[in-house]
Amino acid sequence: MHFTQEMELQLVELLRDYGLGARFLFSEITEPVLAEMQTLDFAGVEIHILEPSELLQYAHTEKIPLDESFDTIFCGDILECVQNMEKFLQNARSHLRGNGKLIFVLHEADPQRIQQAIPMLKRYFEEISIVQMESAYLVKMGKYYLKEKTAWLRSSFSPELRNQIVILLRRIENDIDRSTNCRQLIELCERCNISKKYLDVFICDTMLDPARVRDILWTVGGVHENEP
Amino acid sequence: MKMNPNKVSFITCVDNESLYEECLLYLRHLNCPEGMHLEYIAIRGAHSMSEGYNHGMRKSDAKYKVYLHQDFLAINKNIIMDIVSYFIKHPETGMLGLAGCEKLPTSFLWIEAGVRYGSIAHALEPECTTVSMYGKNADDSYAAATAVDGMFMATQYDVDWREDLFRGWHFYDISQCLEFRRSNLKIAVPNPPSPWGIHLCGIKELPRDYWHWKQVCQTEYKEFCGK
Repeated sequence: MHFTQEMELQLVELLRDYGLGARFLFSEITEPVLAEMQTLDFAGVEIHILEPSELLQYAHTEKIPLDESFDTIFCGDILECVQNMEKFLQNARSHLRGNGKLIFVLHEADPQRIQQAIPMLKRYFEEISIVQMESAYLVKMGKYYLKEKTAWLRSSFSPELRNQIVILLRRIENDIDRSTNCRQLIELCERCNISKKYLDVFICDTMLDPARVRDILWTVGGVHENEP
Repeated sequence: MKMNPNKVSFITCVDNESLYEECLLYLRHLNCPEGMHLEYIAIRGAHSMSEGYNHGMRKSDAKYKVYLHQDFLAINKNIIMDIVSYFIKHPETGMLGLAGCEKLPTSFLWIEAGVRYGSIAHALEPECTTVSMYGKNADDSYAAATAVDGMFMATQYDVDWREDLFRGWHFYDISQCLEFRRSNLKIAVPNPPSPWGIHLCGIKELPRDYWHWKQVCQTEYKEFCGK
């Protein structure tokens, strides 16, 4: 770890701002930062620290060697040792609680490379923020991204057609020219062989009140089980 | 210019006509309180968000102005009534947003604040819509905020947008919130049980100048950091 004193202070300030939750897992944290973390500002935070042997295991398997979940995982600059970033992100995510955050430090990283990494990080986390520190970047990721869940939907039909389905469904849900949009959606489903099952999953993942939209479409809208 | 208290203006910077068309469709389907006039101002070809919004602001005599992104869908049918009635009851409040923070963190990113308010639906991709409930209690109350997200900013007083400082597409919103604060106007965020809008934000990479505008914001408004 190559933190200067100024960076340590900045890091503590940033971590304080983030709101860490009750259970915190650290790896590669310096003593001054840890000491600062244990002051009154972080009273009540349960802090776990990975030992060097665990750290080694972690670096090789991209897996956190604990059968527990945390509100925040802070990884220092251990990512230099991680060989499979995607696997690491998947594993880290599995150890985070519902609104958990994964925070890591990238030392002397090229801003352009970080920008290029964002799409990959976005596959796993919804909220990503990057803070520039003295000679490093602090990357914070939160909220699980649901891309895996929608993979099945994305495997069929063109992005333009999928977008058209969502537009029509949203209009129906929000009572915007409902009968016209119901009719257009049904025609679209017939024309493009969109099954009721596909539409149902779509409704489930994209609508704020799926039950209501289903009710409108399956009854008022005239979509039937035997339709394609 | 004498302001018309019976008028609401929706001001949007537009560079994607199909997104704006959908945004406008939802605006036109909102319930309009009796006696209230609505206008929709699209600013095309703006060089920055601040410049576009200043242009829209000066074009309108509406007392109530809503600055919103072209990818925002208003789904609370009574949003106009909700906003106007709140402003009438709270003349000390200059701005309403739909998501924001109590205190600005050092990063000046409201989303990173420890205490956040509001509720919004996001569509990061067409096949997935998620709802973020930032407030602890969804009870139809309004919380006092320091800054709100620029996707939707409703105002009842005109304050110039800092087009002299923010010549891009980022941090203009935080800047405007802090300009309102400098004018001793309050900012509020509702905590509704269901979101008032859907932000079709998609997944966008941060542009190269993002860090620059952030630095400009941190320098100009350093007195607000942590407040």
